[in-house]
Amino acid sequence: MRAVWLVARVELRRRLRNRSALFTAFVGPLLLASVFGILMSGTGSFTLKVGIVDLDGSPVTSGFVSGLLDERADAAAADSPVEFVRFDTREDAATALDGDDIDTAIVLPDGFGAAVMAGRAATITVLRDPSKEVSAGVAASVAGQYTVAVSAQRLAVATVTALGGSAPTEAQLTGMTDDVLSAVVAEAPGGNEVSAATFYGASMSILFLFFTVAFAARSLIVERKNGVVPRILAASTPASAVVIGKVLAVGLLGFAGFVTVWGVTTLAFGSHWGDPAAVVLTMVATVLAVGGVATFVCGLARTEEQADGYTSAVAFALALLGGNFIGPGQAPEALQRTASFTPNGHAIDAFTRLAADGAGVGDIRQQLLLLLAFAACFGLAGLWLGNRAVAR
Amino acid sequence: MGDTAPVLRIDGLVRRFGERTAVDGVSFQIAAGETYGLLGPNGAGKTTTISMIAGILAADAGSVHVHGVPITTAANPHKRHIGFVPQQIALFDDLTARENLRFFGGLQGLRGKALDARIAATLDMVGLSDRADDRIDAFSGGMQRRANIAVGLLHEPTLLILDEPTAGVDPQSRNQILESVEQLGTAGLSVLYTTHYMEEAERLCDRVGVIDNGRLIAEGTRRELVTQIGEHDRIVVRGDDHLQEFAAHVRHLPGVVEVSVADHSAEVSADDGAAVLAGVVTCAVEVGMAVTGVEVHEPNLESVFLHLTGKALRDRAD
Repeated sequence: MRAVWLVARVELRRRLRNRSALFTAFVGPLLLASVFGILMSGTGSFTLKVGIVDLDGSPVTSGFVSGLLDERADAAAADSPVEFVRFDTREDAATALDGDDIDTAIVLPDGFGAAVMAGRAATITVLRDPSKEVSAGVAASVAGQYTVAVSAQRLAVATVTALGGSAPTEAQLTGMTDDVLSAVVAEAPGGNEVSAATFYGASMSILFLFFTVAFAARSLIVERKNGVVPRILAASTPASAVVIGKVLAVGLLGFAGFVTVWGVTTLAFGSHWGDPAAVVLTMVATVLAVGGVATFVCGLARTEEQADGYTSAVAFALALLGGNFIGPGQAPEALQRTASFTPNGHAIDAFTRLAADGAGVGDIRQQLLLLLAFAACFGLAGLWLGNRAVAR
Repeated sequence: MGDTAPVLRIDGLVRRFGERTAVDGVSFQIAAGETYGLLGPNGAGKTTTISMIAGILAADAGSVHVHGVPITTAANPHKRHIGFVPQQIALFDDLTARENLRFFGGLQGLRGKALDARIAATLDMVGLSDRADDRIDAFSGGMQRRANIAVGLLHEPTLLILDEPTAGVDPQSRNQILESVEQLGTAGLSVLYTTHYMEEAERLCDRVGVIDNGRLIAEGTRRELVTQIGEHDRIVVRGDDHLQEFAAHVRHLPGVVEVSVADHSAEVSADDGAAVLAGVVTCAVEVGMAVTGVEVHEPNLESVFLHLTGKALRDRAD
């Protein structure tokens, strides 16, 4: 144990004297997180401008439209990411869409209310800009929910009428939209968004963690060649103490880098990372997982050049597959699936939940366990490879 | 070697790398306070042999015992009897000499004031006290060599293994290193010294093992090795008169093997040149020879190596 500590201490001292190691552990992730944080700061707070065209004018549609327009205007909704704008004609809405004045538009056709009340099929049109699929999706979702709500109300009215009740009043018809209005707010992304600085702070720290850990593996190769490792072994030091000591040192360095990015993004960008205890636990689990994978990958290398090449390839591949370069909620479904096979994906998932949902340790238990599983599998294999290389 | 148990005993050491046998059944012992030289050209198997002795390379066959305790690649507290100085500068070049010594001393179980005291003493021994807090990469080649040796001496081993410690250093540093090793031998430390420099082995070593192609082909003191190969000391007496008369007289001196006469000199072969020198000079004076010069030539290890292997040490020492 003393040998592990001695090796770790000397490794840490050397890393702290090495400017490239300091850059990798602290400056690199901080710099990229800052750059991404500034560049992407607008994209994190999603806003949507939806045009609405009521060609029907029936109580069923006018209640919905005025509800959207009026209720959006009240104080509580002032911070809503969705803004509705009325247009008299479909053409006006299309022109506004072409001019980028709105992001999408919902068109309620003439005869919509009558068709609904008569139980006939009715179609709502969503005008979309091909470059704004997300906006169109939100509008389609609003329209869809409205249709469902209206259908449910129509069924209830029909049932009441069939049982001898009175026909619904205009106020009741207008009130049909209340549930939909709530749903619109829930549907719109950005209510609990993770800030770009938080997201990229975490993701860039994970990316650079690979390179920080790789320093240990690289130094093992160099020191085996220059006789330092044989000399350490000649002092009756087990090979495992050399490997563990080095990985421990760079792990501590990586963790310190993570904490620094956390602190700086919080102070400089006002980032909110979530429950501090859970954040620290996630960082530790991430350092262990990434450390395990990097140790394993470098353990396969025989030369310094191979160690550098393998590390870069794996670090960027896992960062891409793990969604480290794509903001929260923007990853395509396929990428979300591949992310679940990477430690990066689980780490980002945990950090996002902590920041966005106010999650605690219990809520990210699964992510933590998966990260520890990565650490155990790859870490043990990496240590075995490292021991073999040292004793070779 | 006396009656005491050897500090180091290796028996039938073998190490193969694939099809190549780097060390082939090497055996020797080193007594307490003895400096043993392993002399051979590059690639002869010296470094492989000492790597097995230091316990950093597994032997395919044979054994290594230090103070009677077997040494293998497994961690073993008895390895602390060994001070290992590899041929390379096996130091962290981005740390200072003191930081390197502190690290390696810590691995050897030293700590606190005892470690501080040993660091100071060792730096003083190798003449680096005034550069203790300079980084290794700021040192000259010779200073790096001395720092390399300091790490091997730090924990006061009873057996010091030096693998070509003067390789690539300037003459001044080389001499400083050789003086240090001589002092260590005088102080009672057992030293295993590998080199392909014949003059270093002759200067430092009580006994020499000649190794070539992984095999120990001869072993003994310089005198024993010279005797083994039938080489003699040569005393060349220069002068002009009475050379034949001198030869006739000196031939009868005890220890003289052969005498030959040239135009202006006579050459006397003897088992021990120093022992018969006085008698040879007396003979020259007695026959009335006008002596202009006397030279004693002792056969060296180069001659031994050439005789044993048919090739010169330096031919293969690049």
